[in-house]
Order: sequence, then C-alpha cells, then structure tokens
Amino acid sequence: MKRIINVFIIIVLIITIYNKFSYQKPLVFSLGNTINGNYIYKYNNTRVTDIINDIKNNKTIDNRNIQNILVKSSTIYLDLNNLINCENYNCTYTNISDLEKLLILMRLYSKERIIIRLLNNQNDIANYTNEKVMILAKKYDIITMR
Amino acid sequence: MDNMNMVENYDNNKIFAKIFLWMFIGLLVTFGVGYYVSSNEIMVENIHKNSTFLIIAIVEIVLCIVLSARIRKMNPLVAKTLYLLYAGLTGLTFSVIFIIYELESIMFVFGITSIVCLIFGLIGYYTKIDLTKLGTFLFMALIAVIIASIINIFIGSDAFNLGICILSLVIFIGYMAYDIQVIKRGMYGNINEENLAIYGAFQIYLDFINIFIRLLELFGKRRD
Repeated sequence: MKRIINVFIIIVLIITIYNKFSYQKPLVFSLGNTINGNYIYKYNNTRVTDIINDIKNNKTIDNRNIQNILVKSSTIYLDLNNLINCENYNCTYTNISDLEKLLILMRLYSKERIIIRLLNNQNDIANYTNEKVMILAKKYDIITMR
Repeated sequence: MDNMNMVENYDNNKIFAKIFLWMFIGLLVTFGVGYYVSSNEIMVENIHKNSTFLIIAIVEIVLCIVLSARIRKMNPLVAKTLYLLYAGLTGLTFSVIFIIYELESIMFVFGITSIVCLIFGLIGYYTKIDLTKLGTFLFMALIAVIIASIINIFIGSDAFNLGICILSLVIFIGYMAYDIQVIKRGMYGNINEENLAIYGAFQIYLDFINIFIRLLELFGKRRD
C-alpha cells in the first residue's frame, strides 16, 4: 500500500510541477494578428471597441478565456496598423480615446510587457496618432516600436 | 514465530550491494529517459496531455501493484523487466523537470539527495533503535500528504505547497531509514535473493525520487 501511495505522490508531484510550467510558458497575446509562432494567441478582432467588450465579457480564444490570456501572457503585442485606420481627426480622437480605455483594461489584468507598434504612415494624421499613443505609452508603462 | 521476522538468512552485504546497484540502474533509466525526451518539447507536451499522462499514470500504478503483490513468486527476469519499465515510464513524466529546471541545478540536487539518502540509509542500517515502530505513523503522515497534495493541485498555493514539501521530506527521509532497516531484518518474509534485491531497490528508488523532487522544489533553480 505504501508503495502505491508513493507512486501516486510522484504522479501528483509531476502534475503540480507541469501545471506550474504550463502557466509559465512564454505566452504572447497578439492583437492585430501580424506575428506568428508557438505560444502566440492571435486575436482577430480589429475594432478597439469590440476588443474592449470581448475582454469585459471574457471571450474564449483557442479554448482559453481572454482574461486568463491577459493575465498569463508574458508579452501583449498590439499593431496599430491593423487596429487604427483613420482618415480624419474625429475618427482619430475617438480611436485614441478607445485605445486608452483598452490599455487601462489590459493593465488591470496584465502587469507584464505591453508593446505597441506605431503607425507606419507618414501623413499628418498618422504622426498625430503616434504622438498621442506615445504619451499614453509613457502613462501606462508601455513600449512603443515602429 | 511472527512471519514478518527473519525467515531466511541473507548475506546482508551482498543483498544491499545488489539493491543499491538496481536502484542506481533504475535512476539511470529514469533520468536518462527524462533527459532524452526533454530535448523535444513538443513530445513533452504530448506526454502531459490528458489521456497520455493518464495512461502512463495508470500503467505505473498497475506495475507497482503487480510488483508488490507478485514479487515473491515472480520470475526474477520478469521482476527486473517490470522494475525497469516502471523506471522508464517515470522518466517520460520526469522529462518536464529537465525543461523547467537548469541541468546544473538538477545534478546538484541529485547529489544532495544521494548524500541525504546515504546518511539516513546508514542510520537505518546501523541504528539499534527499532524504526519499524515508526511504520504506522509514517504511513498516516503519508496519507495526509497525498490528500494535501491533491487539494493543492486545485488551490495552487505556494505557501501550502512549501509546508507539504517540508513535511514530505521528513516523511520520506524517515522512510529511507525505515525501509533499509526492514530489508536488513529480513522482514519481507520468504522471498528469493534476486527478487528481494529488485523489491528493495524499488522501495528505496521510490523514496529517493520523492526526496529528490521535494528538494528540487525547494532548492532547484528554474530556467529563465
């Protein structure tokens, strides 16, 4: 009986260690869907307001709740080129306001690294957007890149 | 005369040499298989997916039951095969340890475990204190540990796990001394020398693995 319990304990220990391991895998949560690889959760919705609603409603992605993904991700990656597409300043103001709400919500769940890829376009609206996003990035401890 | 007392007179030195040899072979198989499988992270993940791991766990428990129940009448070659099969299966599940912890750390903890087991094995062998009286107490504590460990799979509390870890270490260190003394006093009854070597090796192999994993949890260094 003791030997059987020994074996059982070893099995339970391995399960415990594995569970810790599976939650410490380098996990990347990509919004804007531009990077590929293992352990990447891609989020296909490209409207910021919809992303906010999905997080609040704890939508499931690949059998995992979005809030859980946010908590467990070592990196969250947002590509503005696929999330913001404005041709006028009114649209830009709205999107930046929504983006700030999204970042506040993300920071509620994630204390890890958040990276925002800025807009590639060189027009006035894109430059203005990037400037505002960089201010937000500083405020919410976010890394920006081009 | 109590059946649990000495029935056959074994040459203890010869028996223990065989026991420790087979224990070492078992550990070599376990760690060798674990290290080899760990080089393929996808394979490790597949092993730990629900159904595969469950099958391995069931087979391990069945092997343990068969070895425990049939060791006295078993062909020694069959006993050795089952023991090594068990060690190999444990190696498959062990592979995750090589991914989580640094290799140097694993080797360091292996060394520490060997020293601890040697010390308490010697205590069990040479002490005149009757450690067999501890058997019931250690068994009850073992039940408590397994219940607590299962609960902690769901709770996931680090503090609780630390407490379980330390208690388990004490129990299995105690069992190492206890098992050595039980073997020395010939308390396994009527069993041939070859099978006694395998059975004894299996006993202390399990104690060693439990002590090793607990020490690794306490002192092991995880990979970045």
